[in-house]
Amino acid sequence: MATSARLPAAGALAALLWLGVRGSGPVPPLGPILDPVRGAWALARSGDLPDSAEAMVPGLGAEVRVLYDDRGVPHIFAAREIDAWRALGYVTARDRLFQLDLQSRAGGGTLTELLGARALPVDRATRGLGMGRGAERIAMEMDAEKRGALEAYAAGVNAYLRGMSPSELPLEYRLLGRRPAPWNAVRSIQVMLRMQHTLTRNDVELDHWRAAALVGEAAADALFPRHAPIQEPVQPSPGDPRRLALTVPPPGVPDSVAAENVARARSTPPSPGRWPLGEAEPEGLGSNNWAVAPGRTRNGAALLAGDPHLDLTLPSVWYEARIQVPGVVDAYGVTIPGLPAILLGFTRDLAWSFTNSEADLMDRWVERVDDPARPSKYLLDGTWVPLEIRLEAYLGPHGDTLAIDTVRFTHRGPIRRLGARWLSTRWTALEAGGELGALHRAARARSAREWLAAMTAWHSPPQNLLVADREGTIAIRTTGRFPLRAGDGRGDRVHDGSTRAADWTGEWRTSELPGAFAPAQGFLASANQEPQDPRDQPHYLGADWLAPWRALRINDLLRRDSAVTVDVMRRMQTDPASPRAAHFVPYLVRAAAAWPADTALAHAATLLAAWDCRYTVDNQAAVLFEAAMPEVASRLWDELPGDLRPGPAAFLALLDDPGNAWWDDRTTRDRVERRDDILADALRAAYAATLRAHGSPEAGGWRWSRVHRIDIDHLLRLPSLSARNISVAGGPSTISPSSTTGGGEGSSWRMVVELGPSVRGWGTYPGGQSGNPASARYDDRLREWIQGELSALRFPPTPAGLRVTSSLLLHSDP
Amino acid sequence: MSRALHIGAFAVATVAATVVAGWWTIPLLAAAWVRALPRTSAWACAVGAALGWALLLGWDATHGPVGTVARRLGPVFLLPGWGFVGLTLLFAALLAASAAVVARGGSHPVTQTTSPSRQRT
Repeated sequence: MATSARLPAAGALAALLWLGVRGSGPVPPLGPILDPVRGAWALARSGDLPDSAEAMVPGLGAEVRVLYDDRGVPHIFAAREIDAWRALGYVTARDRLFQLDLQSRAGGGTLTELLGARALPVDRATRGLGMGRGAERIAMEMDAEKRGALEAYAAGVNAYLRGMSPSELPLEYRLLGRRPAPWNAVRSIQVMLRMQHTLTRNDVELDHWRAAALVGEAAADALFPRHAPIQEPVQPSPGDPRRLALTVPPPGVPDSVAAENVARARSTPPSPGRWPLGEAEPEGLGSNNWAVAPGRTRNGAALLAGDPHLDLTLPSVWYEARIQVPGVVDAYGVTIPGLPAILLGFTRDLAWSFTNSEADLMDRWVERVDDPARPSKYLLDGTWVPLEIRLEAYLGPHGDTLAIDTVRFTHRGPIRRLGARWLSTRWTALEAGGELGALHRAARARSAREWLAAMTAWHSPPQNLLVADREGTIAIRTTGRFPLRAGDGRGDRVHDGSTRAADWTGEWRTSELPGAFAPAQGFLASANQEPQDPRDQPHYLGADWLAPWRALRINDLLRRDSAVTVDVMRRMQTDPASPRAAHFVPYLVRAAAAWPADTALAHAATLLAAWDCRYTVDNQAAVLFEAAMPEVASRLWDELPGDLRPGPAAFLALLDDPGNAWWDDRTTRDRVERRDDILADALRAAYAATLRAHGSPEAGGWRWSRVHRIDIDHLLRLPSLSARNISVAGGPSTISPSSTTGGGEGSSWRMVVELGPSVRGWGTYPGGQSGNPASARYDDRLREWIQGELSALRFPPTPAGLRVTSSLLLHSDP
Repeated sequence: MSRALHIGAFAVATVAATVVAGWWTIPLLAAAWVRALPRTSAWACAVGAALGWALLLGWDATHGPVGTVARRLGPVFLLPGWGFVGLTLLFAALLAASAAVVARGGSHPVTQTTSPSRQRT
């Protein structure tokens, strides 16, 4: 009996110990999770910050006091700026340690070390793009000021790591059975590269190539044109928004030279971003900023609003903080975990916010190589030049080697095989810039002019920099490093790489950058639209621009209001009106009118005609409209594969060209369709599909709030740590855009600042300051964000004015 | 010593061992316990270990939102929140019981230690 009981017990004990230490399959190591003292349960104890705490951070020149306000925001009071960055590293790690680690690994291509082999395709794409090498090279070329800030920040992170008790280990590490790695300056650069990848990667020349392969060069040119179809640029242009004429030639003969590249999408590894190569950018992305001069505000003080749109995650991409160094800087705003800087925010004198410029900063060259299978040289001006070879080893969580890639580089950048050819890529993000130094100097500026001068050193990612100061000056400038190309100057074509004559020839001068300073119109706005009217700008800046629907709406609202208030600015950030819907709906309604006997179609048209084109949560027509638009696109672009969709310019042009051959449905050989045939057919199909999916509109199933939901996923996409099925107003191309079906893109930070006698700010983001899911600060701002509300940001001149909930004293002595 | 005392004493020892060193001490503690006190049943060790960890969870609850942890972590293990609490206690109990049975050896079969204890009570 005893022996018979011992054997299974021994087996059970061994299994339990194995599960406790190593886990099994999807089951993580249970011991470090279930232990009530040091395990995940202990996260309950560390959810709230202690009333007071002390910690040692080596290298501090003097004590740094950190006071957390009642919103969980650390206010860092330091005697030296470099100490403030140490403290910022410490407090960021305290709240967001896992996020720091994950984001830098995503930017450096080392996710496999944390997540295992499942991350291998993403890491390969990251390093294949040169991001691993790029971070190291940028670190080597950094100036002393930037390096000092990054190393100070790293010292702060590492001080937290060293002093962290086992009970404070973030949950994610317990679930993965891993430990955090030490921080260093390169990891901060990797975080920056990750953000640059999100904001600046583009494949416009490759899309053009693919289109040319299918429908010929002339048609491809029109499908991916150089300029936005409607001109409402960042740099104000006189007169009403201007439509650019565009003629779309009918689908032509396939281009045999380009045809071999059609296989690109199948042969290219996935992008490290959220969507694979060749797919359209998520429709929920799109940032805004605008400012109003005192002459057009009710209080006579300049106002500034900003709401960058990014992937929404828990914890948020942003971390709110304030840095005060007497006599040097007093800045409040949001920082990206991993970066020693306030990226968006305000000081005692001014406020600023960014939107992405959407410029083309990534070009490709076709290279001639010595051996197409294993190239070691490339041809340049008649000479075979050795490729730089770099072996990229991908390690697993236990140090095992999962794979080794050979990544090759020309003098332009990484070279990769696409179809039958080898293409090299040059990307400004991989070249050293002065972003951190610019941000640090700009935060010390006393006026909009000084701020813009300091930000001249900002290279990448190029942004529409908006600033307003207490003197009432508002200004904007599209700032960054924009390359000048050889030949026709365009970057939306694949270049011949066999000669240096095809290389970039220089970059734009600062005086050439689009912008406006104290404009007579009294307001400025940017929303990722083409920055400058082509009439004012001879250089190529990009192609296939977004339609400026959001900019049109923002400018329209600002134009009509000469007494703007903080509350007006706040409401604008969630304004549900859609100029895009207002433009397209009449075409659908008119098309349906040609079939009066079709009762279903008539009903659909009636619903759309009655819609005010606002994506409010209770409207019943947006779901139909958003079902109809993809139906139109799939019918209109039936000559193209589903993952190749031209931008809005060609679509807008074709709407006014009802007999164009693009409207013809290729599957109906006995007839030739025109625009209204396709639009009516698309609306008919959308109506039927919506009925099937949501029942009768009269039953309430078409309410936007029931259909349109967004997900804010945890970084590891664990449902119970995520906020899913959230109903919000807004839709594609509204000021607060969000995707039509699920998705997790949206307004990642909303801020309004009034530059009065004292500077006052309001803001929020979807999530909370803490990355600990047990903390009340994990998602405490979510409700406020959903409702479009903002909190007053605490910015008293002295610590005495703060409602302190927790304090932390950092010192360098043991 | 009555069964309740055995359980209580083992629970206290479990608390101490977990606080001092961690979860992995439970099997060591159980093995040592049944060697030192051969009349302690594996069942008593299991209940004592679960009770000890329940006490620790109770202490956690006085210092933070244990319910939130359970609610968020349970679904990660395909369990409801209370199921995650149960998994925690079960893990401790199984560690203790299996180690006790293994450590008891051939001379102290489980049935011999549990029966007298039952008779006394």
